[in-house]
Amino acid sequence: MANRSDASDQITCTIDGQEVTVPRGTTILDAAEQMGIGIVHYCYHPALSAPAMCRMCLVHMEGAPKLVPACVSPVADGAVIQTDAPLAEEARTGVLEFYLVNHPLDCPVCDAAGECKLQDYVYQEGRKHGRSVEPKRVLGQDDFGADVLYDGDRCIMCTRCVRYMREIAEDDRLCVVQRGNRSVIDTFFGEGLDGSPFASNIIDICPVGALLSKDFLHKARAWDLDRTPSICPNCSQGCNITLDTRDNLVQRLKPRHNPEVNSYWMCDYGRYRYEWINRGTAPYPYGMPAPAGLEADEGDGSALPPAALPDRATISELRLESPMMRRDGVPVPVGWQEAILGLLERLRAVSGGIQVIGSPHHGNEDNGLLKRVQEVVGGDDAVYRAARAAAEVVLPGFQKLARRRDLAANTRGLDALGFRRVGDDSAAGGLAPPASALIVLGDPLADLPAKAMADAELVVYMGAVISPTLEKADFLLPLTSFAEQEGTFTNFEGRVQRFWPALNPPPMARPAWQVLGVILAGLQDGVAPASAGDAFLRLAELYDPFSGLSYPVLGTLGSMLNEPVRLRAGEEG
Amino acid sequence: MGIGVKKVRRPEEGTSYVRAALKGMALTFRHLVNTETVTHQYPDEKPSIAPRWRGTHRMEVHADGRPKCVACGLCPTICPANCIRLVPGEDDQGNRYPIVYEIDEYRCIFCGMCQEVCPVEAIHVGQDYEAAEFTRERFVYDLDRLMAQDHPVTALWDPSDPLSE
Amino acid sequence: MAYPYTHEREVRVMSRGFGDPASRTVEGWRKLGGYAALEKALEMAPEDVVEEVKASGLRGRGGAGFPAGVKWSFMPRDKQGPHYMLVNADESEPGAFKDRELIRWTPHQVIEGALIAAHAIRAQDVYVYIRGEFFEPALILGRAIEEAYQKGLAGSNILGTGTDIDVTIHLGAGAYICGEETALMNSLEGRRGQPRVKPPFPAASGLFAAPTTINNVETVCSVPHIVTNGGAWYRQWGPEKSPGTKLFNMSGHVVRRGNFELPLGFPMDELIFDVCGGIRNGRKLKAVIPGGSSVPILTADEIQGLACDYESVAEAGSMLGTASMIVMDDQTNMVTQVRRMVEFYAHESCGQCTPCREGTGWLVSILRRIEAGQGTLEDVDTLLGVAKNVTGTTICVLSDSSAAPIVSWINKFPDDIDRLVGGRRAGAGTAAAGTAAAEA
Repeated sequence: MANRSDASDQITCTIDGQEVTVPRGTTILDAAEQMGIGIVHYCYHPALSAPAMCRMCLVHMEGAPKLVPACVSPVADGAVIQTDAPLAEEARTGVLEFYLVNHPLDCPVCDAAGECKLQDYVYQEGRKHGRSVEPKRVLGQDDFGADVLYDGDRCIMCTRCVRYMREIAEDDRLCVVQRGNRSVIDTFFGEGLDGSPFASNIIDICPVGALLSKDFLHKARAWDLDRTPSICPNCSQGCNITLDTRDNLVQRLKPRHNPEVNSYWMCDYGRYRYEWINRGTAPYPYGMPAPAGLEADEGDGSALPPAALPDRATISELRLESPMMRRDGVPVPVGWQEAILGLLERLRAVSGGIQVIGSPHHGNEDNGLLKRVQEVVGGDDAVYRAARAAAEVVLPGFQKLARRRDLAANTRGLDALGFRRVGDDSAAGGLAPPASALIVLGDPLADLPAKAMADAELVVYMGAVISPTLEKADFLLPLTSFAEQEGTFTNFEGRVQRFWPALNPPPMARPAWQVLGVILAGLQDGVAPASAGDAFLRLAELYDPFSGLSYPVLGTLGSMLNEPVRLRAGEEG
Repeated sequence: MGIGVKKVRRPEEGTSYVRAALKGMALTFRHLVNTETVTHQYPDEKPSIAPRWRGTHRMEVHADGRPKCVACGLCPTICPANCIRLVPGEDDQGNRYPIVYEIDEYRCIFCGMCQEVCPVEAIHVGQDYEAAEFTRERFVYDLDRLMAQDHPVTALWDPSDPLSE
Repeated sequence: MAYPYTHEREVRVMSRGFGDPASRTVEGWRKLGGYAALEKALEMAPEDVVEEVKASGLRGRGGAGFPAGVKWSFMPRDKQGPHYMLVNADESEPGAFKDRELIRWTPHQVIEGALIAAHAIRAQDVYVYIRGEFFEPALILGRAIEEAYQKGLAGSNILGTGTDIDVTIHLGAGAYICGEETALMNSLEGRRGQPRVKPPFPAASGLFAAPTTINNVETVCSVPHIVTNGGAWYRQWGPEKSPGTKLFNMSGHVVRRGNFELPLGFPMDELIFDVCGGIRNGRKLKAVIPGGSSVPILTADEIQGLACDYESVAEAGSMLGTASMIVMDDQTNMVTQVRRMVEFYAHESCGQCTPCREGTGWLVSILRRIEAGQGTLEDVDTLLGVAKNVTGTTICVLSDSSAAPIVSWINKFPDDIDRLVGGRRAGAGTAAAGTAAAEA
């Protein structure tokens, strides 16, 4: 901002009677947005080129011969613009009526109802009836391939999808066919969107219900969904997302704007891998290696989750729901207090240090406190395992975004905390049967034989699901998954970003930072953190890469590791 | 300090039970000889109810037997008692329809908002009041049972006087 | 002469070669005085050519009537990249057929004018965008260009002056909207033929984002004569603000239909009743569309003594446009006519802007209903309301063009529509209503 004070770069104009100073070249729409004046629009999208064809953003500019489209017209110095001039209002009303001439008005069966711009604008305007009594044009539905279903009747021809595929995906697969009111969006010769790894973003940018997700089709109404800001857990890119949940189940993932990480986009690979979040497990749960073909064929981003996942009921039986402690060779459910006291007793008695296995599907707080426990008790073998794909899949029009090779959210965070990566690219192998004491976070060790734990001095497993390997563990402690707790992930480039709880965990499950914090307190190492934010502050004290960071510093957009940060004004505490 | 008690002297006519007893008996005897009986011989004889009576629900059906419901989700949203459960899906013709549609009549407060909000006039409250059951579970009407109801539906407003003026 | 019809009052400047196949060759065109202007122009500085054309007061013949010399002077003087000269031969306006004849009979006139224009704006490339349906003219022009290349009149080192200008033909695919200059550029670049948002104007960023001038065929054809004879010579015809001669394309219910080259300012009633020989079958004149289907209609009364030049026709509430006059006799049903016009626009709407895409289709639906006798008075109000809403809300003026006839026709000929909807609208048919609607 400082070097922008040059007078020639800044111009002042008047919008709706208020003066505003903006950089030269700013469009009327952006300038108005800065002032909190929303100018309605369909075709304009901040990340795409603006064709000025929806004609909704027409505003009155003094001196202009006719109304000007706000999305493409830069403000001129001293311009007087009125967004609510009678002429502009009249034009807007008139244009909106045209949208309804051929629109089927099937909101009751339309998935976009509740998040539809056409609905919003018409409701805002308060129109009761259109004047058109003509029969409506019927075009029907078209399966675009991948996850996209096109409903030509609902389409308002804003061409955002066409421009996205051309400018951002750089994979020109959509076009407008025919002209006039016979226009439809279509793919070339039925080729479809199959194999285009970022195609589903067009569903998000469609302002109406013309582009639908087949995966989400009829699943939930927009107003029923609870939206929780979160971080995509499926690779180390760390796309900002919202978890849209209903009935305590994730129904879909939607990208959330973050100009530094993912802009408005996310990949189809991440978008459709959310079933495991509902199970509370790792993406490839117990007994399941990473799906075949994942390493070999990454060109298409493999749009949909593999069909062969065990069904939800089977998996949920494996969910660990109560702390368990081995008594007389049999694991018995106990209360948390008993489990923690028993565990502390055993930890104090540990002779040769402990080995810890971290989890890249758990946040920095969880893994950091695990590492701290090891430092307090003794031992230096801290490892983790994570799946890795063969190649990155980059979004050509926004190259900061790619489906990264690491298929777990927090590998960089574990590296920064001093964990060592072991095992192969399907997150298996690399572990010897433990000889000393062992604390496992998250990783069900499903590839180890059941008797592998026989020689261990102490086996503590903390996680959401159990596997036969772990049935001989001395302590089994139920944890919440990332979607059920607050925390942070560190993405591939070292950006630490927060996520928030979206689902209700099983009643006895606790976040790992809480369990580990209590254990640390029991080992006379500080006080137990009261919140995830406290646990993170602890991390910042203990580990250099995190120093200076705190939840207020991270904000909603995140902050980089290893960068000295100052609190911005007004964000203290 | 003593409590000051104020004694009210009531007139004899107001406190005597004899008077009241005679009054009551007079009423009884008068009805005994009254020829215009008001007793309904229910259940042999059903009372007529107002057209705006709101009772247990009924789902309208198309001529081919499909429910008219398009599973838009407005009734579970508007329902103040939260007694409607809806799982939408797609039938073999690509139409949106309810896979599960259940109304818990035991929870329902019969406000009629579901009928009012329905965009396709599928769900109605009905002119029915015989909703007794032996178990609570039986009060949860599923889609088939709602479609099988045949009692008249409620008129939420008088067609000749839609604004109730 | 044999060319379909000629008249002694014509001034045949551009149309001098019409009807004579010999003028399609370089030799034939030289006989008619051709290529002298090119030789003269190439020796002049580009600015001087622009000044000469400015002095002539030549106005663009594509419809808008913008002075050609002024348009050329918008081109940047210091050339930093390529400049382009486009010739708009996408003549698609219903009623217009002047460019086709110019190309068919005197292709060298087009080439010569384009080369002079290219020289004036420092362009090294001329693109002639010909409408897809003009297959024969395109062939003729193609042959002429080949011949011009062979004779050293185009290509590199033209006439030994060291000037290089290439001429390329591009055949469109038959979309009306590609006659709009920016849509034409999109089409030429290989994109969808959809108008662009202006600004930027073509002189700043046109074809391939380079400074571009685009002129109608007839404009370009006037240029050689102006260069040869000087701007003052050109001003001998026509009023002060619209000098020169113009091809009038006469069609409809007149006896002699065809192209007539007349000075601007020629009286319209004389044009119809003298030059064209009056209305067919002795019927009475009902209405005239003076400049192609996009302009408001004029009644028989309004054209009495009306001079055919840009200002006078504009004063009468219409536009001279391309001077493509469609004359209608008293048997014409205006509702049918307007329905057919609007159907054309609905079919040709590119579908980019919503008001035009949905509005023109809606207008057609209403008009079809009215024509079938199923319309009501409310429909007429809706019709006018929709026509108002499509006006001025779009990128280009196609939807304005579709609305203008509706408004003027309904108001000037209320009887036809009132008979169909069974009733008369309040205030319809009065002069006030017509003016108010035209202003709206």
